[in-house]
Amino acid sequence: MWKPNSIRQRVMLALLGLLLMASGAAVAWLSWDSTRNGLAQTRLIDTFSAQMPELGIYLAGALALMTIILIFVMMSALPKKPGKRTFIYRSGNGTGVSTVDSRTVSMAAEEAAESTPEVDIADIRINGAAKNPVLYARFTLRADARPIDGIGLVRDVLIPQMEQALGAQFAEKHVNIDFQPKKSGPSARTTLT
Amino acid sequence: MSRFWHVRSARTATLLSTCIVLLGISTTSLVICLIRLDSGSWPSWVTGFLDSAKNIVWANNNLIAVAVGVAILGLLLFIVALVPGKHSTALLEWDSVDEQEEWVADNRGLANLARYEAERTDGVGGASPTLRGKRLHVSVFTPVHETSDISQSVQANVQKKLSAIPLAHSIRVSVKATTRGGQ
Repeated sequence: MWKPNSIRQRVMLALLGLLLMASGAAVAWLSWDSTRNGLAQTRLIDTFSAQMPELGIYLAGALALMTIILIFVMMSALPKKPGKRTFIYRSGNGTGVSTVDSRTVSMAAEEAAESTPEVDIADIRINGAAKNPVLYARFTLRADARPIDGIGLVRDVLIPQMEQALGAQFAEKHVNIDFQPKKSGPSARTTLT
Repeated sequence: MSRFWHVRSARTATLLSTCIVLLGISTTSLVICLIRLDSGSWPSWVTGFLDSAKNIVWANNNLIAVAVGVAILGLLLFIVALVPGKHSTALLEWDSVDEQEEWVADNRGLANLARYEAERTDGVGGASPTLRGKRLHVSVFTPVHETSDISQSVQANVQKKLSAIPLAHSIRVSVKATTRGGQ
Protein backbone atom coordinates (compact mmCIF):
# COMPACT_ATOMS: atom_id res chain seq x y z
CA MET A 1 0.00 0.00 0.00
CA TRP A 2 2.48 2.58 -1.20
CA LYS A 3 1.55 5.93 -2.65
CA PRO A 4 4.12 7.88 -4.69
CA ASN A 5 3.83 11.61 -5.27
CA SER A 6 2.88 11.35 -8.91
CA ILE A 7 2.97 15.03 -9.89
CA ARG A 8 6.29 15.77 -8.20
CA GLN A 9 7.93 12.73 -9.81
CA ARG A 10 6.63 13.57 -13.26
CA VAL A 11 7.87 17.15 -12.91
CA MET A 12 11.33 15.92 -11.88
CA LEU A 13 11.41 13.45 -14.76
CA ALA A 14 10.35 16.17 -17.20
CA LEU A 15 13.07 18.50 -15.87
CA LEU A 16 15.71 15.78 -16.17
CA GLY A 17 14.55 15.08 -19.69
CA LEU A 18 14.66 18.78 -20.59
CA LEU A 19 18.15 19.12 -19.13
CA LEU A 20 19.50 16.15 -21.09
CA MET A 21 17.70 17.29 -24.24
CA ALA A 22 19.02 20.85 -23.97
CA SER A 23 22.62 19.86 -23.21
CA GLY A 24 22.70 17.20 -25.94
CA ALA A 25 21.12 19.53 -28.49
CA ALA A 26 23.49 22.38 -27.59
CA VAL A 27 26.63 20.25 -27.96
CA ALA A 28 25.29 18.69 -31.18
CA TRP A 29 24.52 22.13 -32.64
CA LEU A 30 27.91 23.61 -31.69
CA SER A 31 29.67 20.61 -33.17
CA TRP A 32 27.56 20.62 -36.34
CA ASP A 33 28.10 24.35 -36.82
CA SER A 34 31.78 24.30 -35.82
CA THR A 35 33.15 25.15 -39.27
CA ARG A 36 31.13 28.42 -39.28
CA ASN A 37 31.61 29.40 -35.64
CA GLY A 38 35.36 28.83 -35.76
CA LEU A 39 35.41 25.99 -33.24
CA ALA A 40 36.14 23.21 -35.73
CA GLN A 41 39.69 22.40 -34.63
CA THR A 42 39.35 23.68 -31.05
CA ARG A 43 39.62 20.98 -28.41
CA LEU A 44 36.67 20.60 -26.05
CA ILE A 45 38.96 20.97 -23.04
CA ASP A 46 40.31 24.28 -24.37
CA THR A 47 36.81 25.76 -24.37
CA PHE A 48 37.11 26.30 -20.62
CA SER A 49 39.26 29.30 -19.70
CA ALA A 50 40.17 27.86 -16.30
CA GLN A 51 42.87 25.22 -16.08
CA MET A 52 43.64 22.64 -13.43
CA PRO A 53 43.47 22.90 -10.44
CA GLU A 54 40.74 25.58 -10.59
CA LEU A 55 38.84 23.67 -13.28
CA GLY A 56 38.95 20.59 -11.04
CA ILE A 57 37.51 22.56 -8.12
CA TYR A 58 34.64 23.91 -10.24
CA LEU A 59 33.97 20.45 -11.66
CA ALA A 60 34.07 18.81 -8.23
CA GLY A 61 31.68 21.44 -6.86
CA ALA A 62 29.23 21.02 -9.74
CA LEU A 63 29.38 17.22 -9.51
CA ALA A 64 28.88 17.27 -5.75
CA LEU A 65 25.82 19.49 -6.17
CA MET A 66 24.46 17.22 -8.90
CA THR A 67 25.01 14.15 -6.69
CA ILE A 68 23.17 15.74 -3.77
CA ILE A 69 20.26 16.80 -5.99
CA LEU A 70 19.99 13.31 -7.51
CA ILE A 71 19.99 11.69 -4.06
CA PHE A 72 17.27 14.12 -2.97
CA VAL A 73 15.21 13.29 -6.07
CA MET A 74 15.57 9.56 -5.43
CA MET A 75 14.64 9.88 -1.75
CA SER A 76 11.57 11.98 -2.55
CA ALA A 77 10.51 9.50 -5.25
CA LEU A 78 10.24 6.65 -2.76
CA PRO A 79 6.57 5.99 -2.13
CA LYS A 80 5.14 6.21 1.38
CA LYS A 81 2.50 4.34 3.35
CA PRO A 82 -0.23 6.19 5.25
CA GLY A 83 1.06 6.48 8.82
CA LYS A 84 -0.76 5.34 11.92
CA ARG A 85 -2.41 7.85 14.25
CA THR A 86 -3.17 7.92 17.96
CA PHE A 87 -6.73 9.15 18.37
CA ILE A 88 -7.47 11.11 21.52
CA TYR A 89 -11.01 11.02 22.89
CA ARG A 90 -12.08 13.50 25.53
CA SER A 91 -15.07 12.94 27.79
CA GLY A 92 -18.09 15.24 27.62
CA ASN A 93 -17.19 17.13 30.83
CA GLY A 94 -13.53 17.40 29.85
CA THR A 95 -12.18 15.38 32.79
CA GLY A 96 -11.39 12.14 31.05
CA VAL A 97 -9.08 11.41 28.13
CA SER A 98 -8.59 8.11 26.37
CA THR A 99 -6.42 7.22 23.44
CA VAL A 100 -6.83 4.66 20.71
CA ASP A 101 -3.96 3.63 18.49
CA SER A 102 -5.33 3.32 14.97
CA ARG A 103 -2.86 0.52 14.24
CA THR A 104 -4.46 -1.59 16.98
CA VAL A 105 -7.91 -1.19 15.42
CA SER A 106 -6.61 -1.91 11.92
CA MET A 107 -4.69 -5.02 13.03
CA ALA A 108 -7.77 -6.35 14.79
CA ALA A 109 -9.81 -5.69 11.64
CA GLU A 110 -7.20 -7.44 9.49
CA GLU A 111 -7.31 -10.54 11.69
CA ALA A 112 -11.09 -10.55 11.69
CA ALA A 113 -11.16 -10.24 7.90
CA GLU A 114 -8.58 -12.96 7.31
CA SER A 115 -10.51 -15.36 9.53
CA THR A 116 -13.39 -15.33 7.03
CA PRO A 117 -13.45 -17.79 4.13
CA GLU A 118 -13.83 -15.02 1.55
CA VAL A 119 -10.82 -12.89 2.48
CA ASP A 120 -7.29 -14.15 1.95
CA ILE A 121 -5.22 -11.07 2.88
CA ALA A 122 -6.30 -7.79 4.45
CA ASP A 123 -4.07 -4.71 4.63
CA ILE A 124 -5.68 -1.83 6.53
CA ARG A 125 -4.40 1.59 7.57
CA ILE A 126 -6.41 4.20 9.46
CA ASN A 127 -5.33 7.80 9.31
CA GLY A 128 -6.95 11.20 9.82
CA ALA A 129 -8.35 12.48 13.14
CA ALA A 130 -10.44 10.93 15.93
CA LYS A 131 -13.70 12.49 14.68
CA ASN A 132 -12.79 12.17 10.98
CA PRO A 133 -10.82 8.96 10.49
CA VAL A 134 -9.69 8.00 6.98
CA LEU A 135 -9.59 4.40 5.81
CA TYR A 136 -7.01 2.96 3.42
CA ALA A 137 -7.62 -0.73 2.81
CA ARG A 138 -6.77 -3.49 0.40
CA PHE A 139 -8.63 -6.77 0.61
CA THR A 140 -7.45 -9.76 -1.38
CA LEU A 141 -10.41 -12.08 -1.91
CA ARG A 142 -10.17 -15.72 -2.81
CA ALA A 143 -10.91 -16.33 -6.48
CA ASP A 144 -12.83 -19.53 -5.70
CA ALA A 145 -15.34 -17.68 -3.51
CA ARG A 146 -18.22 -15.60 -4.90
CA PRO A 147 -16.83 -12.09 -5.45
CA ILE A 148 -20.04 -10.35 -4.41
CA ASP A 149 -19.99 -12.21 -1.07
CA GLY A 150 -16.49 -11.02 -0.30
CA ILE A 151 -17.15 -7.45 -1.42
CA GLY A 152 -20.42 -7.37 0.51
CA LEU A 153 -18.64 -8.66 3.63
CA VAL A 154 -16.09 -5.86 3.38
CA ARG A 155 -18.65 -3.11 2.71
CA ASP A 156 -21.51 -4.19 4.99
CA VAL A 157 -19.72 -5.90 7.88
CA LEU A 158 -16.02 -5.19 8.25
CA ILE A 159 -16.06 -1.46 7.60
CA PRO A 160 -19.10 -0.74 9.81
CA GLN A 161 -17.45 -2.77 12.60
CA MET A 162 -14.33 -0.64 12.32
CA GLU A 163 -16.44 2.51 12.48
CA GLN A 164 -18.14 1.14 15.57
CA ALA A 165 -14.78 0.46 17.20
CA LEU A 166 -13.58 3.97 16.42
CA GLY A 167 -16.85 5.60 17.42
CA ALA A 168 -16.94 7.64 14.21
CA GLN A 169 -17.76 7.13 10.55
CA PHE A 170 -14.89 7.26 8.12
CA ALA A 171 -14.55 10.71 6.54
CA GLU A 172 -12.91 9.08 3.52
CA LYS A 173 -12.72 5.48 2.38
CA HIS A 174 -10.12 4.21 -0.07
CA VAL A 175 -10.77 0.52 -0.66
CA ASN A 176 -9.07 -1.75 -3.17
CA ILE A 177 -10.46 -5.23 -3.91
CA ASP A 178 -7.97 -7.71 -5.27
CA PHE A 179 -8.40 -11.37 -6.20
CA GLN A 180 -6.00 -14.22 -6.16
CA PRO A 181 -6.23 -17.98 -6.45
CA LYS A 182 -6.61 -19.91 -3.24
CA LYS A 183 -3.23 -20.89 -1.81
CA SER A 184 -2.86 -24.62 -1.31
CA GLY A 185 -2.29 -25.65 2.30
CA PRO A 186 0.31 -28.11 3.64
CA SER A 187 0.33 -31.42 1.82
CA ALA A 188 -1.79 -34.13 3.43
CA ARG A 189 0.54 -36.82 2.11
CA THR A 190 1.39 -39.52 4.61
CA THR A 191 5.00 -40.66 4.77
CA LEU A 192 5.75 -44.13 6.07
CA THR A 193 8.97 -44.43 8.02
CA MET B 1 -11.17 13.86 -2.22
CA SER B 2 -7.68 12.98 -3.40
CA ARG B 3 -7.63 9.49 -4.88
CA PHE B 4 -5.28 6.91 -3.42
CA TRP B 5 -5.77 3.78 -5.55
CA HIS B 6 -7.22 4.92 -8.88
CA VAL B 7 -4.25 6.97 -10.04
CA ARG B 8 -2.12 6.90 -13.13
CA SER B 9 1.43 5.60 -13.20
CA ALA B 10 3.86 7.88 -11.35
CA ARG B 11 6.82 6.74 -13.51
CA THR B 12 8.75 5.83 -10.36
CA ALA B 13 10.80 3.09 -12.04
CA THR B 14 11.84 5.35 -14.94
CA LEU B 15 12.79 8.19 -12.61
CA LEU B 16 14.75 5.99 -10.21
CA SER B 17 16.64 4.14 -12.95
CA THR B 18 17.56 7.43 -14.67
CA CYS B 19 18.71 8.88 -11.35
CA ILE B 20 20.78 5.79 -10.54
CA VAL B 21 22.62 5.98 -13.88
CA LEU B 22 23.26 9.71 -13.53
CA LEU B 23 24.26 9.26 -9.89
CA GLY B 24 26.78 6.60 -10.91
CA ILE B 25 28.31 8.91 -13.50
CA SER B 26 28.39 11.95 -11.22
CA THR B 27 29.80 10.05 -8.23
CA THR B 28 32.53 8.41 -10.30
CA SER B 29 33.47 11.74 -11.87
CA LEU B 30 33.48 13.42 -8.46
CA VAL B 31 35.82 10.77 -7.04
CA ILE B 32 38.16 11.17 -10.02
CA CYS B 33 38.21 14.98 -9.58
CA LEU B 34 38.88 14.72 -5.87
CA ILE B 35 41.75 12.27 -6.43
CA ARG B 36 43.21 14.64 -9.03
CA LEU B 37 42.94 17.63 -6.66
CA ASP B 38 44.41 15.69 -3.76
CA SER B 39 47.29 13.89 -5.46
CA GLY B 40 47.94 16.19 -8.41
CA SER B 41 47.59 13.40 -10.95
CA TRP B 42 44.70 11.52 -12.52
CA PRO B 43 43.96 7.98 -11.29
CA SER B 44 45.72 5.38 -13.40
CA TRP B 45 42.48 3.62 -14.36
CA VAL B 46 41.20 6.67 -16.29
CA THR B 47 44.38 8.08 -17.86
CA GLY B 48 43.83 6.13 -21.08
CA PHE B 49 40.26 7.46 -21.43
CA LEU B 50 41.33 11.01 -20.53
CA ASP B 51 44.24 10.97 -22.98
CA SER B 52 41.86 10.15 -25.83
CA ALA B 53 39.14 12.51 -24.57
CA LYS B 54 41.36 15.59 -24.20
CA ASN B 55 42.18 15.60 -27.92
CA ILE B 56 38.54 15.57 -29.07
CA VAL B 57 37.76 18.62 -31.21
CA TRP B 58 34.38 20.20 -31.85
CA ALA B 59 34.32 18.99 -35.49
CA ASN B 60 33.96 15.34 -34.58
CA ASN B 61 31.22 13.02 -35.89
CA ASN B 62 31.37 10.82 -32.80
CA LEU B 63 30.73 13.87 -30.64
CA ILE B 64 27.68 14.76 -32.71
CA ALA B 65 26.40 11.17 -32.48
CA VAL B 66 26.79 11.04 -28.69
CA ALA B 67 25.21 14.47 -28.25
CA VAL B 68 22.25 13.56 -30.46
CA GLY B 69 21.85 10.30 -28.52
CA VAL B 70 21.74 12.19 -25.23
CA ALA B 71 19.22 14.65 -26.68
CA ILE B 72 16.99 11.81 -27.90
CA LEU B 73 17.18 10.14 -24.49
CA GLY B 74 16.17 13.42 -22.88
CA LEU B 75 13.26 13.77 -25.31
CA LEU B 76 12.08 10.25 -24.50
CA LEU B 77 12.18 10.98 -20.78
CA PHE B 78 10.26 14.22 -21.36
CA ILE B 79 7.59 12.40 -23.36
CA VAL B 80 7.32 9.64 -20.74
CA ALA B 81 6.83 12.30 -18.07
CA LEU B 82 4.07 14.05 -20.02
CA VAL B 83 2.14 11.08 -21.41
CA PRO B 84 -0.41 9.96 -18.81
CA GLY B 85 0.11 6.38 -17.70
CA LYS B 86 -2.55 3.75 -17.42
CA HIS B 87 -4.71 3.06 -14.42
CA SER B 88 -3.97 -0.21 -12.67
CA THR B 89 -7.45 -0.39 -11.14
CA ALA B 90 -11.08 -0.39 -12.30
CA LEU B 91 -13.75 1.63 -10.49
CA LEU B 92 -16.59 -0.15 -8.69
CA GLU B 93 -20.11 1.22 -8.89
CA TRP B 94 -19.99 2.44 -5.25
CA ASP B 95 -17.13 4.77 -6.06
CA SER B 96 -18.22 8.34 -5.39
CA VAL B 97 -15.99 11.38 -5.09
CA ASP B 98 -18.92 13.41 -3.64
CA GLU B 99 -19.41 10.90 -0.84
CA GLN B 100 -15.64 10.64 -0.25
CA GLU B 101 -15.58 6.94 -1.12
CA GLU B 102 -13.08 5.34 -3.46
CA TRP B 103 -13.90 1.75 -4.37
CA VAL B 104 -11.71 0.00 -6.93
CA ALA B 105 -10.85 -3.48 -8.13
CA ASP B 106 -7.26 -4.28 -9.00
CA ASN B 107 -6.77 -5.06 -12.71
CA ARG B 108 -4.29 -7.78 -11.84
CA GLY B 109 -6.86 -9.31 -9.49
CA LEU B 110 -9.53 -9.24 -12.20
CA ALA B 111 -7.10 -11.00 -14.54
CA ASN B 112 -6.42 -13.59 -11.82
CA LEU B 113 -10.16 -14.15 -11.50
CA ALA B 114 -10.50 -14.56 -15.25
CA ARG B 115 -7.59 -17.00 -15.34
CA TYR B 116 -9.07 -19.05 -12.50
CA GLU B 117 -12.47 -19.21 -14.18
CA ALA B 118 -11.01 -20.02 -17.61
CA GLU B 119 -8.83 -22.83 -16.26
CA ARG B 120 -11.84 -24.35 -14.51
CA THR B 121 -13.61 -24.76 -17.83
CA ASP B 122 -13.64 -28.30 -19.18
CA GLY B 123 -11.01 -28.88 -21.83
CA VAL B 124 -8.80 -25.91 -20.94
CA GLY B 125 -5.16 -26.73 -20.24
CA GLY B 126 -4.05 -23.24 -19.35
CA ALA B 127 -5.09 -19.62 -19.72
CA SER B 128 -3.36 -16.28 -20.04
CA PRO B 129 -5.61 -13.23 -19.61
CA THR B 130 -4.68 -9.67 -20.54
CA LEU B 131 -6.78 -6.77 -19.27
CA ARG B 132 -6.49 -3.44 -21.08
CA GLY B 133 -8.99 -0.81 -20.07
CA LYS B 134 -12.45 -2.26 -20.63
CA ARG B 135 -11.32 -5.23 -22.75
CA LEU B 136 -10.16 -8.54 -21.40
CA HIS B 137 -8.52 -10.92 -23.82
CA VAL B 138 -8.03 -14.50 -22.70
CA SER B 139 -5.69 -16.83 -24.55
CA VAL B 140 -6.33 -20.47 -23.67
CA PHE B 141 -4.69 -23.60 -24.85
CA THR B 142 -6.43 -26.92 -25.06
CA PRO B 143 -5.61 -30.41 -26.26
CA VAL B 144 -8.94 -30.49 -28.12
CA HIS B 145 -8.77 -29.92 -31.85
CA GLU B 146 -12.21 -28.34 -32.15
CA THR B 147 -11.71 -25.11 -30.23
CA SER B 148 -14.90 -23.14 -30.96
CA ASP B 149 -16.93 -24.78 -28.16
CA ILE B 150 -14.08 -24.27 -25.73
CA SER B 151 -13.83 -20.59 -26.67
CA GLN B 152 -17.55 -20.06 -26.20
CA SER B 153 -17.57 -21.82 -22.83
CA VAL B 154 -14.60 -19.84 -21.54
CA GLN B 155 -16.10 -16.59 -22.81
CA ALA B 156 -19.43 -17.30 -21.13
CA ASN B 157 -17.86 -18.41 -17.82
CA VAL B 158 -15.46 -15.50 -17.55
CA GLN B 159 -18.08 -12.94 -18.60
CA LYS B 160 -20.50 -14.32 -16.01
CA LYS B 161 -17.87 -14.16 -13.27
CA LEU B 162 -16.92 -10.58 -14.10
CA SER B 163 -20.54 -9.50 -14.42
CA ALA B 164 -21.07 -10.57 -10.80
CA ILE B 165 -18.62 -7.87 -9.70
CA PRO B 166 -20.27 -4.45 -9.34
CA LEU B 167 -17.92 -2.63 -11.71
CA ALA B 168 -18.68 0.91 -12.80
CA HIS B 169 -17.96 -0.03 -16.42
CA SER B 170 -18.53 -3.47 -17.86
CA ILE B 171 -15.60 -5.42 -19.26
CA ARG B 172 -15.85 -7.05 -22.67
CA VAL B 173 -14.30 -10.52 -22.82
CA SER B 174 -12.75 -12.07 -25.93
CA VAL B 175 -11.20 -15.50 -26.09
CA LYS B 176 -8.73 -17.15 -28.39
CA ALA B 177 -8.22 -20.88 -28.02
CA THR B 178 -5.17 -22.68 -29.37
CA THR B 179 -4.70 -26.41 -29.67
CA ARG B 180 -1.61 -27.54 -27.84
CA GLY B 181 -0.67 -31.05 -26.81
CA GLY B 182 -3.12 -33.91 -27.12
CA GLN B 183 -3.15 -36.35 -30.04
